[in-house]
Amino acid sequence: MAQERSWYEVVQECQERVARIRAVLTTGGALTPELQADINAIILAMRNWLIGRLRQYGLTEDAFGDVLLAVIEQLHRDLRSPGFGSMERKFGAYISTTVNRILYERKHRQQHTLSSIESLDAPIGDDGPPLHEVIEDTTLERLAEEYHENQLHQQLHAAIAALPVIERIVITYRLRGVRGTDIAQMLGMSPANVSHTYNRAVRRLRQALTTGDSS
Amino acid sequence: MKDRSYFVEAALRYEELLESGQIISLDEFVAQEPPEVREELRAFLEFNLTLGELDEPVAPTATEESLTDRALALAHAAWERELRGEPTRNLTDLRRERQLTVGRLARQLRLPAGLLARLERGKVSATTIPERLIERLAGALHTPVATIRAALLAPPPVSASARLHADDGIIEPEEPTVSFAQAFADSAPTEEERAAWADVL
Repeated sequence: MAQERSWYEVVQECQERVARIRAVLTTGGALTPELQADINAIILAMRNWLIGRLRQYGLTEDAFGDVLLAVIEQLHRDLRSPGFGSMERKFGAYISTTVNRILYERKHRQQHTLSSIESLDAPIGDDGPPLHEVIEDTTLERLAEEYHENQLHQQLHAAIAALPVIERIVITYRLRGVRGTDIAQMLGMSPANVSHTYNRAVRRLRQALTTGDSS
Repeated sequence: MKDRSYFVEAALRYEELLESGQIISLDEFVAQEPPEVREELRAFLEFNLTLGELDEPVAPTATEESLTDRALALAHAAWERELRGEPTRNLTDLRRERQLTVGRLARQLRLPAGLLARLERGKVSATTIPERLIERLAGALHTPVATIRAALLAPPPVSASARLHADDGIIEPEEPTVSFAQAFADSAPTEEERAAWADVL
């Protein structure tokens, strides 16, 4: 099943299929049953990851159908677009960004709110500071201790190198002691969103260090 | 207005810059883009960076598996029509070609007329439309099932009220897109219509 494979493996497999499909469709070739099977395989490989994102986002099953359909239609368009060669090299980033864009459009259409992110900006009590300023996160220290105790240094660096670029930047600066607010200013993001990105990176690192899966 | 592909491509370009070691802020990046899209692009880029890559695979429910099959069938029908170079025809076009009114077609299908009209306006989520209705539409309109599927994804006709609003500048709230079950309930079905579709509601 797809969820037993790593994101890296799934993306690699999809990239090979994408390259095959684009080699035909961007040069005026016809859609064959083999290419159709490749497209179906890409959608099915991505489906469970897409469901995961939608559940995190709090969408219903009906909404899943709409978003999946929008993703497939967008994929169909971009597979034929000569200017979209990046999807052959960075399919993981492409499909994630496409899903995120569709969610962004839905959010603006329906005024749907991403409560898990906004809650970090919410003040504590009536006059308190935003939640993200007072969260004490000891995960990094714990990871450092594990590193010293279990000789995980190399694994940690490999895992950091394998992170998506924004997570790698945030975690690298935090490890250098740069404050979250300064990273936010540097990137032009809100501190709450940097906290969210940092926590996601830590979760991914923890998974990589405990399972040996650095993808 | 830029389309979805532009925003996706811009986000990938920004990530490539970061990958290459150029730590450029969102403001600096969007400053190089067309003025009319900067605000939305900036908001989207931050949203995209914050959500990040897909990272939590989840086993689908039976409903989600079924919705996947329907979405694939709908999208493939539309894509094949496009690749064959056939003209885009929506449900209204197909109905008018058979010289049928909404009311008459609705009676043939045992559907509330209001629901069929909503379907034609594209305000019923396509993946929730029962397979049986797609087959019955194909039968009533004497056209292949794939043509009905492609029509469900084709842009709906521009309504007279929308044209009026464009002329006089009045903006009304957009009609929401709802599931087939919700649209059915909203359309005050008769007992006979309810009985005809009870198994898919």
